[in-house]
Amino acid sequence: MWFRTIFRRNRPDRPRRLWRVAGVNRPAGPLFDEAFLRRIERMSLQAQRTLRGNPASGEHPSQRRLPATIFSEHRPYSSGDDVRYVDWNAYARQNQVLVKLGEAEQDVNVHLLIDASRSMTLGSPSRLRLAQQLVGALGYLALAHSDRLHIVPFGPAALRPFGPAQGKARVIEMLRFVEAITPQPETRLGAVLERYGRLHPQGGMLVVCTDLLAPDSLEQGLRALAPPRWQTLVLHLLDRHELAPTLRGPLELEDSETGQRLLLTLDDETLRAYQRHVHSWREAVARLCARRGIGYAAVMSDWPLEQQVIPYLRARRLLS
Amino acid sequence: MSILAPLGLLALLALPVIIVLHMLRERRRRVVVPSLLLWQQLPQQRAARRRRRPPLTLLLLLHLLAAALLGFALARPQWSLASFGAERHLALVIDTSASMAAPAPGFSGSRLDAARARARTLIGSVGARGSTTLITAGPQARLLDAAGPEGAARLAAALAGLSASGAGSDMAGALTLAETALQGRAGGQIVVLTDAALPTLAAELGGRPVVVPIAWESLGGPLDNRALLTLAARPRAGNGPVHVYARVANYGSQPLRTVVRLAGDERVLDSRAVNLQPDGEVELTWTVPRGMTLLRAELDGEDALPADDVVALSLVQNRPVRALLVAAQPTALERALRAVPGLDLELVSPADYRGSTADLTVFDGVLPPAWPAGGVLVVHPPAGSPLLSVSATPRTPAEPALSVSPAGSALFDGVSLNTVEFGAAPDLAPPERAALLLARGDQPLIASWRSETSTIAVWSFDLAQSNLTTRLAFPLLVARTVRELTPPAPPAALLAGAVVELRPDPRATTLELTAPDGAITRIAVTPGAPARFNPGQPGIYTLAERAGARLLYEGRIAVNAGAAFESDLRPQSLPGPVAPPALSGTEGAANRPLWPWLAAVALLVMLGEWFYVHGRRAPGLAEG
Repeated sequence: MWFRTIFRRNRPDRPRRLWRVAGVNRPAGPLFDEAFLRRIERMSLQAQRTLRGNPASGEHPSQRRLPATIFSEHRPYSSGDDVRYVDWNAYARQNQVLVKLGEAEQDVNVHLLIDASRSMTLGSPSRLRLAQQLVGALGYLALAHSDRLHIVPFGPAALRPFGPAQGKARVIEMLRFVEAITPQPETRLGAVLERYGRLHPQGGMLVVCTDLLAPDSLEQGLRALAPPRWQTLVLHLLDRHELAPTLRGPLELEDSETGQRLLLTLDDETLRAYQRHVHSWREAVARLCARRGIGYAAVMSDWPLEQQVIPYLRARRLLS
Repeated sequence: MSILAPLGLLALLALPVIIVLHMLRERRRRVVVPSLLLWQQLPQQRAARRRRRPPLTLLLLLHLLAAALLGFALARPQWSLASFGAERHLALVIDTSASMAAPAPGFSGSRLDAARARARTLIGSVGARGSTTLITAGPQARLLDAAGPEGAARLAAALAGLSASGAGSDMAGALTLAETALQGRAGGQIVVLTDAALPTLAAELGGRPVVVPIAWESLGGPLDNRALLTLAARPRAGNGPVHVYARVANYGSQPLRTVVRLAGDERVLDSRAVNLQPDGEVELTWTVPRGMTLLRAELDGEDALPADDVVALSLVQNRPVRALLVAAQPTALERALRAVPGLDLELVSPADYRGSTADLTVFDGVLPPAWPAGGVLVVHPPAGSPLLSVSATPRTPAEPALSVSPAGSALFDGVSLNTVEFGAAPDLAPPERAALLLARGDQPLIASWRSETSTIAVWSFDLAQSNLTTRLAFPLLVARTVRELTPPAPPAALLAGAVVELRPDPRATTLELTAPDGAITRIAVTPGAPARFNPGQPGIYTLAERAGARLLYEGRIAVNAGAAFESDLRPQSLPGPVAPPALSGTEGAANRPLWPWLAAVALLVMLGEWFYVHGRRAPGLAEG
């Protein structure tokens, strides 16, 4: 009956979306072309020296001093040392058997966590698409520089990961994995980070691409990813419509993940309050990350990857 | 526009309900956001304030429009072509009974004057394509005239000629005439203009189907009245005194005292004071000497309706009869004729008979060459006359049982013929139009018929051969035969407006009726047929029967206006405006139902509402 429209149940059936859904079910082309990969190949991830890595390979500096041909300092010979690194000249001068120590290079574990929740799919371009491009690019750098790469999409929990993988031979596989990431109904960012930190006590370089729109405590997760074992960077993906909505009037806002509704009448005063709230929220996240020694970088979803995001990350010393 | 089911308008109460529902449940634009985390702590005061005002949305307007259309549709409205200047046919039924002569409240004139003024207004309101039919509801309903706007002057003249007279209103007959006049016409309406002094209206109209809308307009008000309802006398003729009875009624809420005067032949006989209680009646009796011809009773003083304050009664029971007996030897028949009251008998022998101008001519044993005008009684007709076929040889039938035909029942009612011997009688062959009154076996004895200006009765038997003259039945039979062959006296009194049939003298060619106001009405008499008389005015009418220029008879007829159903001037409850049930076909075209159109528009509005609601939810509207 016609009057039932008054009593119509609020069903999540094709509601109007503030942000367009993109890159979820329809192909949006490759993440980037081969030329782009060649251009960024000369860059590398800038891992901290404090990270624990495997000195067998890799190009990242390590805190460890190992017997090496490249002299850095001496130490007394001890049983078991390789006699090839004994500095016989110093033995001749000082009459003490010394072993030459040099700086060790290492590979690091690169953990790329990508928020695959439904909230990442909204916007144009979608944040999930930008996250996939970022993870693909960073993963390519990790593989190209012999780091051990872990790519973990997550929603309410960590999903099937990619890796650990090492070597450029895994690039195609990695890119396919990234492209195949599908949105998840919701996200538990804090819990996922906390659990991930416990499962990987060795630590490593960790980049989280997320919109930070999760109900649980981010601080709890970041506590498990604190330096020095972890070099963590939170890439906060933002949409301009989220920062400055263009909505007006009586609205029924629907949460894209939970379906929860909120009746709201938006006017200038309410929007100003919203923008103040978003700004303070971003400030709080940045302070939290700074307090935990974790890097924080806000990335707008409409920034071009090569022209704006990559330089931004270089400026933030993630890339070198 | 008319509404058949006003209760359906209660559905319009849904309008405020819909507004309240929209206020309680304001329909908002639904927008999907990534998360509500950033929105949940915003101030909500302004949203709460907005809810107090009805949200003026297209959806609300569509809902209100649909509900309003459905509410009106449930009331089953009808629209008439007359509402758009189409044909409007009016039938005006005007009560012209005597009570309409009473004063109208708030009007300087009688109730009939008020009805005339109202009728003129209604006639003027009929459009150029309409028509008006004037019908009077007096004791008999009459169609006065019918005309369109071009005949307004004629209708006005007809209205001016109306007079309030007669007791009773034939409202049912008037409505039937009006419905007949409006039959097959779209936009017809009946307007009844009456003083509502119609005590028997409910009984007259009970269960009467309504085919045309009727509007009742009451022009009367509560008025007290008194009336003389009855004046009767017994015996009206004879040698003894006459006992007179009268009934006086008070149709008012206050007791009153008045004087009743009784006059005989314009001479006051008695004056008597009476006390009348509210809604009460008083019966009066007098004994007056014989010989008077007209009694008149009247109430002293004036009231709202003077016409019913006078009542009259004629005491003339029989009209005088001049009779001529043609007989060779008048015997018992002469004696019997002379015993008839009011009969003046003249004797003549058959040889001296040269024709008759008498009211009644009696032939005993002879037949004239031609039937004289007037009543004719033939006893024992001889054979050989061309006027009547009679056998030459009398006989007595083998089966002598007497048989009285139904036509003769009035003649022989209460008369015993058991011991009567008619003797041998010739066989009579009366004309085919004759009524056989008495037969003996297969032999007719008494027959009667009319022949142009004559009323003829034939007794075929010979009185000398019969013992009838020695029986008590003989003078009675002679008197009744004289009464059958001569016209009766006019009625003693009539109620104004009542139609009576007068049986004039068979020789009469014209009836002249002179009303109390001097107006003369002449009625051409058809031989053998009664003359219809409808007196409208109360008072004494003079009746004159003429055969050409010759006056045959002159008498008086008393016409009275007082009647229990007319003299009570207090208005009764009238029916409300009556609309006919929904009709089909040509008759139903006058009022066309509007609700199907309203329902159709409501359906379209609901379809629009459906498209509006579901169209807004299309995915293509998502904005970037």
